[in-house]
Amino acid sequence: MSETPINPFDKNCKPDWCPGCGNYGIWASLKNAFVNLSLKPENVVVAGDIGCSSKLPEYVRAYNFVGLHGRVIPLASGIKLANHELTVVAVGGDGGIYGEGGNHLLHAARRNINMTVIVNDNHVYALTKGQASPTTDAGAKTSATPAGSLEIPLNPILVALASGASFVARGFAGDPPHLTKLIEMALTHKGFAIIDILQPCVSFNNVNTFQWYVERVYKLDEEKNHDFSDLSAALTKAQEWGDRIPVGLIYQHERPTCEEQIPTLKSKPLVAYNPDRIDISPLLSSFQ
Amino acid sequence: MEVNSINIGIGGIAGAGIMESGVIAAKTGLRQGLFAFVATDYPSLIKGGHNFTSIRLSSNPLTSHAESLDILVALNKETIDLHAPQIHTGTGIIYDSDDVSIQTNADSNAIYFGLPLSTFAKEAGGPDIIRNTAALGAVFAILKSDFTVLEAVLRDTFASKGDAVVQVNLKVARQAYEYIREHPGQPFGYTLEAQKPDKNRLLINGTQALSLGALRAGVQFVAIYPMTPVTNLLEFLAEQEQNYNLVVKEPEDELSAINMTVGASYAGARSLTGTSGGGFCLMTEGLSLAGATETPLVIVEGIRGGPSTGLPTHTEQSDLQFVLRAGHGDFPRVVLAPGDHVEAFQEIFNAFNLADKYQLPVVLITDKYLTSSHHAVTLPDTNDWIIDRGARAENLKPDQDFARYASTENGVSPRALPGQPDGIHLTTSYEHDDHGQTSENPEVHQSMMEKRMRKLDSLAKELPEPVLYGPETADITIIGWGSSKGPILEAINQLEAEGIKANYLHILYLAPFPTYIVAKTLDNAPQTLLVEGNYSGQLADLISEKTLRRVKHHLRQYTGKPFSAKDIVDKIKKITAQNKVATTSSFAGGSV
Repeated sequence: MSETPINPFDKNCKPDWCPGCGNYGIWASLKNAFVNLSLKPENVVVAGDIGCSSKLPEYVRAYNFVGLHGRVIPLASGIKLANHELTVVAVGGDGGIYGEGGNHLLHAARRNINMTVIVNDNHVYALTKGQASPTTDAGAKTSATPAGSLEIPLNPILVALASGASFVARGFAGDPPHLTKLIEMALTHKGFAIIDILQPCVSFNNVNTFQWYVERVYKLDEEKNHDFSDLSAALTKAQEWGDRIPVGLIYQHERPTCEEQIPTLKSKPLVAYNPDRIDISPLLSSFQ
Repeated sequence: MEVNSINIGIGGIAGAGIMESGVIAAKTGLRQGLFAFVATDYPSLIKGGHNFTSIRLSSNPLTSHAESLDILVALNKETIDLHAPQIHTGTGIIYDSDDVSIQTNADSNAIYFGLPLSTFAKEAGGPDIIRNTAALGAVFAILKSDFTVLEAVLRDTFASKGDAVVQVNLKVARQAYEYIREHPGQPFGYTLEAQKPDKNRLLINGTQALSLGALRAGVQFVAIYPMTPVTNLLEFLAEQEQNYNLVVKEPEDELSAINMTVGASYAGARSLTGTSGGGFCLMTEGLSLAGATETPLVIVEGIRGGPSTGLPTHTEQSDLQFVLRAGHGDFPRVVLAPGDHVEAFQEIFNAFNLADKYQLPVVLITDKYLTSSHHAVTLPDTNDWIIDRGARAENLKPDQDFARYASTENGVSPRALPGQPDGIHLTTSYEHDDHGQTSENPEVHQSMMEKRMRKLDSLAKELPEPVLYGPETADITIIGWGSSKGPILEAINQLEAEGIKANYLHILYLAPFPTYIVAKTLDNAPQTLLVEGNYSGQLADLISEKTLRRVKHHLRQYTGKPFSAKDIVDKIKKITAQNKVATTSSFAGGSV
């Protein structure tokens, strides 16, 4: 380790991702966002799910924790509640966040812990080699659905909005400068932020390719007529898909975070209390 | 006249305040210097059905409930019918004469005390539920106990509900008390004589014992999904969130509970989750995660009747093998099962230290009988109890790649926590090398596996040996675990009075297993009896597996009810009777 990396979040490593994978763009954007916000690696936790998405924490230098498939959101929640001075990012894929871990997304949105969920949404289970995922198109022929998928895809933006998420956005892995800014916005948002990132998968998704997205995505903030604080407008935008796909911030509101409402955490993080010689005697009189 | 030894039953429909009455009665005994044990029996519903509680009071220490009733408070007729087998000659039956009419006949061996409880409740201006308080007044009247003690307990119990509620309860209790004084009825053979109360003696249930122990252990983060019989653990700790600087969450499911707990522990907080068998099923992948990532974890598993949804409000000891094996792959764990309320308080404290020191999951098994029964106990002085957070990496140098999983002699690698400069490392559920980096290298997997499992060697040396209760030498040695301890100790006392000497080997730590002591005890015992509350003999199997010995006799209970001392006494008498027959048999080889 003789060189000092320019980006302190860089790690000497060669990612396992296929050449041309959309994850490279997400990876770069995340590290750039950290640097732009002057974050220090020792105060950052990138938690991972399981899948191609979740190799990302292995390639970022910080106190990262790759947990179980579908469980990155509660894992990240526990980390944040224990030490809310940390910047906590949960990275997962469409399989882990919307399928295996769908229930956790619903309730994390309600809970509004200050954290950022990044979903590398490639519409397929890539690491297990090509099965249908919750966002796979109806009728898609995958290795698990050779006759065509019988289910319609879940709409992650609608789900996040309906669950009460206070920051909902869509990004595109093929536009790192835009994605970096979006991630910065999510990280500075006070509350639960989710970015569904359109991620081309060169190995297992030959429908939603880089080119396919480039022809369709447009930047919502450049439209200048979208009210980000209007839930109804966001719900309408969320249903826009096909020839035109909006990317960028779709909805944001501010409300108290979970941790700022917990009296214990008012003065310091939970881990800063060093419990020793606890006095339980005040509780004992009610048992006499 | 039986002085200071009584077993009182209170029965009625759910929603009639049966459970609370049991605690009030027990506290009234406690404050007169008596020992108390309260057991509960209730169905899985909110209103209706049949709720029952039994309160045992004695001037001698108690370790379990009793089946035979000396007083039965029947708030409905059904109670008398349901508990008829537990009534004996001289049992006092207190009932609501407004609701039930009893025709006592010559065969009746019980003594009936009918009071117009409904009328008392109505006249006091209270809701129907206060009939139970009136009944308590009658209980302590027939026991010739001073009303002022019950009065004080009622005041304290209802204080938080406001003075109006206090007054209405005092009124009906006093009214019933006076009614008995004016209508003493047949002579009742049981009485209470107040003794000097012990200020250090507390009436607590198993959940409270665990909660107090966890607080004393410095628990910080708690995530529990409601499930009988551990829901009260969540509620008790949630109530204390502000007083003890906790973060208590009720998560969306058990998968979230365990993963949140792992996350909080990873970040450096002392973390606790709890559940019952069905919820523990959902936690098993998380258990494997804690083991693989070497994250400290304490999990309370409160067993109820199984399998599946089973008997939510009843007790069993049927998850032992499941807990021992839960979570895929080989990883180190500790499994322990406190046998009573004091052990619950003490051992959850130890559980947190073991989890932190050895960086692994510790599962503390309990059950409905222990969590929901109240026991008058003196908690040990905790002044000397030291919280051990385990080895931390210190004096780390910048640009030095921190080896989170460095190989050490005892397998424990010092931790660096998020926020700590120069300790940055990856933690992953994948197999990993000593720096935490994902690895598929065969040598790495092998050495990591050995490092993790090696932790158990030093851990096992720290654990206390199983205790042998009773005489050193005995006619028969009982082996058991968990809440069977109380009924077993009670049985040993009863057997002694009948000239049979029994002792009890209580296996507190089940993993790592105390192989040597158990084998030695089995080899030296003239007779052995294994008592456990499950069908398949889960402790018996564990003993066979570890010691290569089979226990000769077995007593298994899988009715949903706890063991009673009588079950165990009867079994042992049968065994010793068989032995007597065998030794007088002239058959070569015998038939035993």
